[in-house]
Order: sequence, then structure tokens, then C-alpha cells
Amino acid sequence: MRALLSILWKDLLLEIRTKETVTPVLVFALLVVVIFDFALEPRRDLIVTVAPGVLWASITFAGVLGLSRTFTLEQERGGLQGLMLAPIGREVIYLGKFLSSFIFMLAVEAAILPVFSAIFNLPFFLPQVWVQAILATLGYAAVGTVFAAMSLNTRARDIMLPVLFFPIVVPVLMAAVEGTSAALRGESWSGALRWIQLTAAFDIIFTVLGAMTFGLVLKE
Amino acid sequence: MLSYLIVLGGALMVANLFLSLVWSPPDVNLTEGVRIFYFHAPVAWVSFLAFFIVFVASILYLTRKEQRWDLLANASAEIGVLFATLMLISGSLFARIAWNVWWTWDPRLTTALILWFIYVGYLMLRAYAPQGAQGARYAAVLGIIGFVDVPIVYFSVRLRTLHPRPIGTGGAEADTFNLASPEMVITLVLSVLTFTLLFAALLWLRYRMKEVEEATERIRRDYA
Amino acid sequence: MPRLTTRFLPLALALLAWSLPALALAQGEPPTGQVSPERALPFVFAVFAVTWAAFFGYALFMARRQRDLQREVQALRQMLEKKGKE
Repeated sequence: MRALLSILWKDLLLEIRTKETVTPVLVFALLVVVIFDFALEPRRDLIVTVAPGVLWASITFAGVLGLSRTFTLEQERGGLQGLMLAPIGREVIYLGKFLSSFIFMLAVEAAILPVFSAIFNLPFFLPQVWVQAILATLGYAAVGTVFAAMSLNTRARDIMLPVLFFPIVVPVLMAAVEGTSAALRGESWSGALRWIQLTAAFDIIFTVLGAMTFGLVLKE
Repeated sequence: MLSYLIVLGGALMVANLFLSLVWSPPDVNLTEGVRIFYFHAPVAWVSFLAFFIVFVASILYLTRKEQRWDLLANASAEIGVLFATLMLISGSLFARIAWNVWWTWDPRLTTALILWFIYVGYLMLRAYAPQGAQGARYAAVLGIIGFVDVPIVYFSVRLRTLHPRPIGTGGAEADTFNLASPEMVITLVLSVLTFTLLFAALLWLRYRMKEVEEATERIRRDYA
Repeated sequence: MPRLTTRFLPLALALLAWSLPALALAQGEPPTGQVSPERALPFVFAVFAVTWAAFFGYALFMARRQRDLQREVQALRQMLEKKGKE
């Protein structure tokens, strides 16, 4: 537990000092939102129906970018070597990395939601949306941490991470979009509940699988 | 052994062609179009079987660390992608006849497409990952994660399409068909059997070839 | 080994491309009610053509690999013989 917290703290401290992950990813996410807005401009009337999709597509693209950052930063400075030499279980490294990616992505989402809300004139500050966002981000981080570590030693890694990541997280993306739509249509919790359950099941399955397989990916 | 398999498979294939193209009767709604099904269904079944083998071989490789499981997973994934590609093409043609559209986002079709993407990614990872044991472990991890993901994808698309789906907009009533006659059932069963046998032969060939590839590579490493 | 998979991917894509004329062939008026056999047959033909072309292509690919492997074994044998003489 101490080791887990110190990995997390290390990552957070590094981020606070350098701001090399959250800031660029946030700018990128905002740009994606704006580009979608331009692309949809001719059909203003459609925006309410497509807004959840636009939101989650932007978060997914930004997320994959952020995930690849977390490990490249480690590798550039030899941090991964240090982590692997440390007398801690691989699951702990996984959970530490998983949690820090989760927090970074959530920070980006927290910043992007108000902007999104303003640009599209939609009420996104609904508790269902937030629960859905937290669960979806957990799922992204659980799968993404394994694949990011994998693509680290792979040729053409900039393309390999999204190619591996996107098909696997399709259920999470779908659930997030549907859950957000249900909330925007003014449905109560029951509308979003089955999507929340689905995402939660995904999170549990892939966090366990990730913790089990991460050591095998990391081993030299 | 392998040559017997090939002879038996060849004979079955000829019999199967006759049954599915000539002997079995046309469907009430789909008429001759139903014959696509005798190709589409077995090909789909074989691709799922192939990816299941990838899944099992990946687990065995990670627990036992024996290279043969890695070779088996690799060979099976390759043939699986071939069959999955055929599944998508024949399914698209079948959909055009039965539902009037080339493609519809119903649970089975969407799952099949995602499945295809996952295993094309698997082959790409095979090509770009580091050589040797590390790359093999990467592929095995993806082989497990990918297969576990498939039922979740299916379930999530089904959850989304609980409301009626907008297909057959052209007014085709040929939406469903049932295997009305015993000839149809026999043909389908034989087709599945034949294609499974074809898959077994291909997998065996490819696996043995991979063994030889691996052996020559090892010799080159050791002596060169 | 990586050469192999990179060679297989273009093959799969080529197959997809190859099927496009077959798809065009099968274009026509959408059916109502029962599908006429004249309309259905091009589709059946397309499926069979694509499937068999794919199997044939894969067999060809395997044969090429086999030939490459034989060459490789030959080269290795010569190399080892040379080494044995030294």
C-alpha cells in the first residue's frame, strides 16, 4: 500500500512540477471538440443528439494520447528501470500507474466538461454523467495501462497503441455515450443504470486481468 | 496422417459443394440466396473457433512457457483473420439479399467487425513487437484480453439495440428464414464439418511451418 | 517472423479489394418480398468466388513460405558444411 501511494505521489508530483501530460492532452482534447464543432456546423439542429458522441470521442482520442505519455516519460528518464528494480510486486506498479493515468484523465475531463457544456449549450453537470465518466475513465486506464506498457517496446508504437486500444474499449465508449444521452434526455437514474452496471463490470474484469498480465508485459 | 486429412477433406469439400449448390432446395423467401448461408455460417464458426484456440494457447503459453503454444496461437490467429475476413464479406452479401442493406449495426455484425479489428491488431502486434519471448508474451496477453472482450462487446451492442432496429427499410420480407427441410439441415451440418476439417488441416500445416521457421532461425542464431 | 505477418496483411486487404467488383456485380434493384433467383445467384457466385480465391491465395502464400524455408535450410546446410571443413 505504501509503495502504491509512493508511485502515485511520484507521478503526481512530477506532473505538478512539469505539467507535461495534463496540459498538452487538455489542449488536444479541446481542439478535437472544436474541430467536431466546425465539422457539424452545417447541422446545428443535430447537435443535441450527437453531442454525447462528440464528447466521448474527444475524451477517447485525448485519453490514448495521455496513456502513451505516462510511459514514454518514464522510459526517457530511466524511471521504469528503477520501478522494476524496486522490491515491489508488479501488480503494485500496475495499480500505481493505473491510478495516476486515471487521475490525469479525470482532470482533463473535469476541465473539458464545462467548456463543452458552454460551446454546445447543454447541461452536462448531471450526476449520472459524472458517475459514467468516472467509471469509463477507470476502464480506459485499466486497459490502456497494459497496452501502453506493451507499445513501449514495439515498433510504430504511436499507431499500435490506438490500434490495440480502440477495439477493446468499444463497450466502454458505447456505454458512456448511451448513458450520457439518457441523462441529457432528462431520464432519471434508471435510464443510465444499465450502462453504469456494464461499465462497472468491464472495469472489474479488466482491472483484474490487467493486474494479472502486467508483470508479464513488463518483464525483460 | 496429414495426407489422409487432406484426402478426406478434399472429398468432403466436393460433396459439400454438391450438397450446398445443387442438392439442397431453395428457401421460401431467399430462394437461391440461402446457399450463401452454407458458406457464411461455417466460416463464422471457424473464425470463432480459431480465436478460441488463440485464447487457450495464449493461457497455456503464459502458464507453461513452452514455445509450441505460442506458435499455435500465432498460426491460429493468422488463419482466424482469414476466415473472419471471409465471414465479413459473405455476411455483407448475405445481408444485402436478406435485409436489403450491405451492413447493419446489429449485435452480431458489430461484434464480428470488432473481433476482426482486434485480431488484425494482434497480427500487427506480432509483426512490430520485439522478437522472441517478450513479443510472444505481448501477443499472449492480447490474445487473452481480446477474447474476454468479445462477449462484453456483444452484450453492450445488444443492450443498445433493445429498441427495434431500422433494417429492411426497402420493405423486404425476407428478413428471416428457417431451415425448413431436412436437406437444408444436413447440408449445413456437413458444411460446418467440412470447414472445420479444412481449418484443422490449414492450422496443422501452418503450425508445422512455424516450427521449421523457428528451428532455422535458432540454428542461424547459434551458428552464424 | 515479422516479415510473414506483414506479408499476410496486404494479402487480406487485397482480398477485400478483390471482392469489390463482385459486390458491384451483385448490385441491383432492392427486392420486395421474395428474392428472385436471378437476383440471388450473382450473390451466391460472389461469395463462392471470394471464399475460394481467399483459400487459394492463402495456399499460395504458404507455398511461397515453404519455398523460402527450403532456401533457408539449404543456405544453412552450406554454411554448416563450410564451418565443418574449417
